[in-house]
Amino acid sequence: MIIITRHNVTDAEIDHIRERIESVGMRTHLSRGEHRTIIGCIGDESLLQEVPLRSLPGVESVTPVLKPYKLASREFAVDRTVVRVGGRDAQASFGGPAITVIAGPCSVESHEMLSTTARLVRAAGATMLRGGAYKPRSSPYAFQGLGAEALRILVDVRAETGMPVVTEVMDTRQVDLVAEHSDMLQVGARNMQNFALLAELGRVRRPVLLKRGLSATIKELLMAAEYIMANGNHDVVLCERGIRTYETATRNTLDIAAIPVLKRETHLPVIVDPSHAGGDAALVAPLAFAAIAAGADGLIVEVHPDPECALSDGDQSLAPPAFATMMQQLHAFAAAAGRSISVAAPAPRAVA
Amino acid sequence: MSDAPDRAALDELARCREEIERIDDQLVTLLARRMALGKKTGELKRLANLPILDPTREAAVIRRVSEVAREAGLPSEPIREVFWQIVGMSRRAQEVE
Repeated sequence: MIIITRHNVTDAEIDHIRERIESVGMRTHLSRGEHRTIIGCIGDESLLQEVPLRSLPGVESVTPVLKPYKLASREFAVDRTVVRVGGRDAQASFGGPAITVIAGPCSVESHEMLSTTARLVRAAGATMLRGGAYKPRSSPYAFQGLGAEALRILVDVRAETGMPVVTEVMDTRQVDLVAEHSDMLQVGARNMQNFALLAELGRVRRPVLLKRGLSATIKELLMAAEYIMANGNHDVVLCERGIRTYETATRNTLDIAAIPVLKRETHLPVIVDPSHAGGDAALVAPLAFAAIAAGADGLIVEVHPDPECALSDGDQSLAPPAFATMMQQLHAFAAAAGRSISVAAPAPRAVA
Repeated sequence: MSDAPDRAALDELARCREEIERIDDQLVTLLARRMALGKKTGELKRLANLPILDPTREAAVIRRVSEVAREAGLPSEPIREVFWQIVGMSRRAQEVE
């Protein structure tokens, strides 16, 4: 249920409306825009049957939200959400007019490797750095990531380049440690329905990058976002990264339609991972172009200084020159979609 | 910006932090007093045969503090969140006999 208030509603009227809703044991969420304010009701809606919502002072209209997701639904927010990442020293945002590109290696292999990659992707136009510390590999015998050491490297390279960092968190036990060392926490596709992890991420004050599960529907992705939001963290960025289909020519099938559908269903920003979607470096640029043309708010791209020697996912990693070419071509697609590409702030120290 | 830290600013920062710690101590002391009163209301509710969970009262507490916060020039949304936590903590303490 959402309540749209009158244009001239007072704070006291809003307080009163919320008190009446909360008196039956529900919670409320306020979304204020320039011209209108929405009060979202969260909880068992049958409890509201006895409350004469429409006749409360300040109420313009009352609309049921029939979708199972509430906080994530488009109706619950007056404006689209802009998720701000990082602090004054390193910042990025998702969902504003500019498209934000995250780039970096699949996994952090060493300080030198991450630092080199960061400088190169930054020079090419990426404003945020990715790098895996804990890797959810399909095989227990594959490289599992450097763990806490990788987190320390991410912090160092963040300070060197002024790029906020995103890294994956796989386990509830890692949440505090990873939150301390990064600007944004990524939930990988395989953990999209790890509800204990989602609930824990609801309690941290760091934005979450939530990747769509390999076989998850759009509704399931939005319910996963709802889990994080219902636990208190409203800064969620959704990521389409390809789904499993019968097609074997590509690693996954990038669900382009998911972008406009998500934009219709939710106020949360939506970005695309063209690297995992295709599983092939040659497919990254065309999939990235298609994503931006379809309305995505950003990209997350795997770049490795020497893809042949990557410890993980070398096949889908772009070499820095290919990434730079893609970034240049991306401007035309962004302009066609009525957007621009986000520009990096000056580096804290001289960046070669 | 030069790399040398401003001595006076650092001293003032340390003083501010000390003052913040003193305020935190007071907040915790006040929370302990609030919790003790919460437990007492729990006992009184039991004696009066009233349910522990009282959403109407909780909603009134939240409405009141959001007004007080606004009057004090504070943003009311974060204050509401803080008080939902405090109200929840108090309710859980009352539920334990």
